[in-house]
Amino acid sequence: MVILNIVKYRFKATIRSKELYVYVIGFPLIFMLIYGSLASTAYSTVEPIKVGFLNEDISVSYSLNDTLYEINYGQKFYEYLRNLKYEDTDVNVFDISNISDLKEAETRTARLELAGVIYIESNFSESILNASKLMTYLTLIGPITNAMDKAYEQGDYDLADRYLRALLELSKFANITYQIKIEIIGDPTYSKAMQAYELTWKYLVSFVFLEASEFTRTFMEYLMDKYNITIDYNTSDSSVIGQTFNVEFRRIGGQRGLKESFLQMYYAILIPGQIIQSIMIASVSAIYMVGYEIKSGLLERLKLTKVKSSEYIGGTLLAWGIISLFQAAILLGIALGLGYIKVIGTPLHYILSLVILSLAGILTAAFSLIMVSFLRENIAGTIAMISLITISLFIAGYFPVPNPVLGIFLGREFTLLDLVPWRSAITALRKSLILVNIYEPVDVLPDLLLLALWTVAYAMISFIVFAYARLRKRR
Amino acid sequence: MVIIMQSVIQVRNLTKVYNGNVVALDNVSFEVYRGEIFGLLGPNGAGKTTLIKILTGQLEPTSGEVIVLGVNHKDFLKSDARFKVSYVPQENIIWEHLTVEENLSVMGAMYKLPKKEIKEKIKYLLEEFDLIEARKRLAEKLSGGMKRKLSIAMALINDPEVLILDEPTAGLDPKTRASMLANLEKLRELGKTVLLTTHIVEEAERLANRVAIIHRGKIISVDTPENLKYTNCGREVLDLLFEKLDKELLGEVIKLAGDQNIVVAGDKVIIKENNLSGILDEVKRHKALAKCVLTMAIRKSNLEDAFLFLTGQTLGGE
Repeated sequence: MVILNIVKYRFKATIRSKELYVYVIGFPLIFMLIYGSLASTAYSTVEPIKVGFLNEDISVSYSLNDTLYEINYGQKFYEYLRNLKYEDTDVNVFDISNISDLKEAETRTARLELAGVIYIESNFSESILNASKLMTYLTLIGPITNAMDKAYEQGDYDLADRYLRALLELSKFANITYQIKIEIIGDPTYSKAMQAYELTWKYLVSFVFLEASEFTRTFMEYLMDKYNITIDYNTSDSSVIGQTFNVEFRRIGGQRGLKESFLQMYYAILIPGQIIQSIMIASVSAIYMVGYEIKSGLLERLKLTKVKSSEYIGGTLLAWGIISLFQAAILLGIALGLGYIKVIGTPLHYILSLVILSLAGILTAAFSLIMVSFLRENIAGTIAMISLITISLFIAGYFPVPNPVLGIFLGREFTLLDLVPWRSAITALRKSLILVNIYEPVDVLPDLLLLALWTVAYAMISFIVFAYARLRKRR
Repeated sequence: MVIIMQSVIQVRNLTKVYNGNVVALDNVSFEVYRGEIFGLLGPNGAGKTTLIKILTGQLEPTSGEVIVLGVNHKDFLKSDARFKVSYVPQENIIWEHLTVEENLSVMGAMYKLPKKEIKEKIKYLLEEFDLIEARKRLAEKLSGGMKRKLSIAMALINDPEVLILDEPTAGLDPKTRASMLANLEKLRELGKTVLLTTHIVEEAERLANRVAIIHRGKIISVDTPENLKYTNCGREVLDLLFEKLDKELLGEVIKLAGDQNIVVAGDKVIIKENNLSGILDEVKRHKALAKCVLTMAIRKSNLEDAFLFLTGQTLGGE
């Protein structure tokens, strides 16, 4: 396979090139050692995140067996959050203050007194109750139907009739729809606001599942009591309720620059950006290697060989995927060894991180090939380097830039910055490497898929452009 | 016995004009036959490299036609004929961060040769080009001469029918050049068809079966080195080197030898004539000339002389 030979010699040439070593390992390592050692002290202890809680929820009520239940789920969510503790510690996750109105919420978040304010709107309880009813229907429909069929088969028509009546009562929940929405008011340039946002999302899902499970259990007991039946109850799957959540972020402030210390920012936001930036800078070295082949006449010479354009370009891109993997493995190894990464994810989290970084390498190499298609290698290298560093600063969130939501991609918000391909690498890396206690590996998939799509698109563009500009006969 | 010369490269009425007005090649025509070493002799800027780029499919000609191994230049890069042609440009085309052996191996892989064949070829080429001891060295650490040898060895990994070399000994020291020429002579023994460009007379005379003299984009003459010399300046020439050659002195020389039989290269006058010893005696007797001549000698003619008589210029461009 000639493509593997191309990968092999490019890899060998890279690891033997002192200049490329500086890009691939040198710069990233220096940055990591400096910032990592600074940031590690900032991350050494856990402390509650100060948030506000503005509850405008209107209670809901329902009666079962002449018992009237009146519930304010907003208040229950407040209690739930207040009692959360960091794993293996007695430290609360949130330090919650009650907020009286939106004005106070905005003022206190703008001053960064609070990481953010969790704003519960008036229909929160109604939505949760509806979600609970729907989950109850989905959970109990199967067991009751099965029990009814069994009773019919055994000729116990009285029992079967009671199951049927229970089923009819349950069926009134069948067509319920709901939309659970809460809002986080905060300054997006403040890392703890984003942390509050991520955590609120995660805990809202858990909370709704707990409440819905509780409702299901209560309703099941009601049915068993009322119709004198037994129901073989199994715990439900939270995915049935996880599809219609919406935690919105309302931006407050952040227009006049960063408002927290660099150390605090570094861990949550800068590390993924820093790593992706390193991969981007290293992969720009593809320009120099391909540029050398153009300048020395090697590329012209290769036109007389049996290697195809697709093999040359594919081998080049794949090589930088592997070089990035190599680079990422070394950097992650050192970072873990030095204790800069203290939240340990699952092996799958790390595999995902390596895949993300590898794709980021291929993506940047494709970008580099596009640049070197039209520009001389030294100019292309400089322009690519400057543009990629600038791009990385913005997409990593170092500076506040408007980032409106353009749509939804696989359940994930697709924002304006997502149009910059490397953005999805950063968001994916945040989830797979840094926020592993919040995100499951499966949560990384939408970002990973978006990154893969961008990579394929850029690889195809680089193939077309490079073949047109560099591999055809000159006039 | 009838020897049929099989044409491997045919160049017909080839013209290349850059930017609409810079004529690099002007109606060039010649043929290269199978198994011969064909030299393209001309000064820098004569159009040799442009010609090679067209032959190897890198450049489109403005007009005319090139047929290499039976394939027209328009189809060359799409045809399998290109796999039978190797070329080495003036610059060394090697991967600097790979070893000698790896460079050869990668180039072999680019031709999709079987691993066993690559291994055998590498062994053979390392021996032929005296690179055995350097096989594990990174190409960037090699001397200029060894890099050149490696470049040519890489061009031979696919056992090409046609090898095109652009100034193969340019920039080499005399010792390495001699060794390189010996390597190139072996290519003739191997039956390879070689087209080489050079501006070095000795190289063309020693290696080439036939030489095309190219000047300002035009082929002035194509023949064997012997015929080129004999036809254009005879077997011997007389060199007169003056301390300072002026118009009066030149006029006197013209009176003695006739203006058709002399060329001037700086302060040197080269004379071709049947009776060179007679002219030499007359110069010795001529008071003005004898006083100003530093050296005078009859010597064997060479291709530089032929080039001078054909173009009025030296290969160095004077």
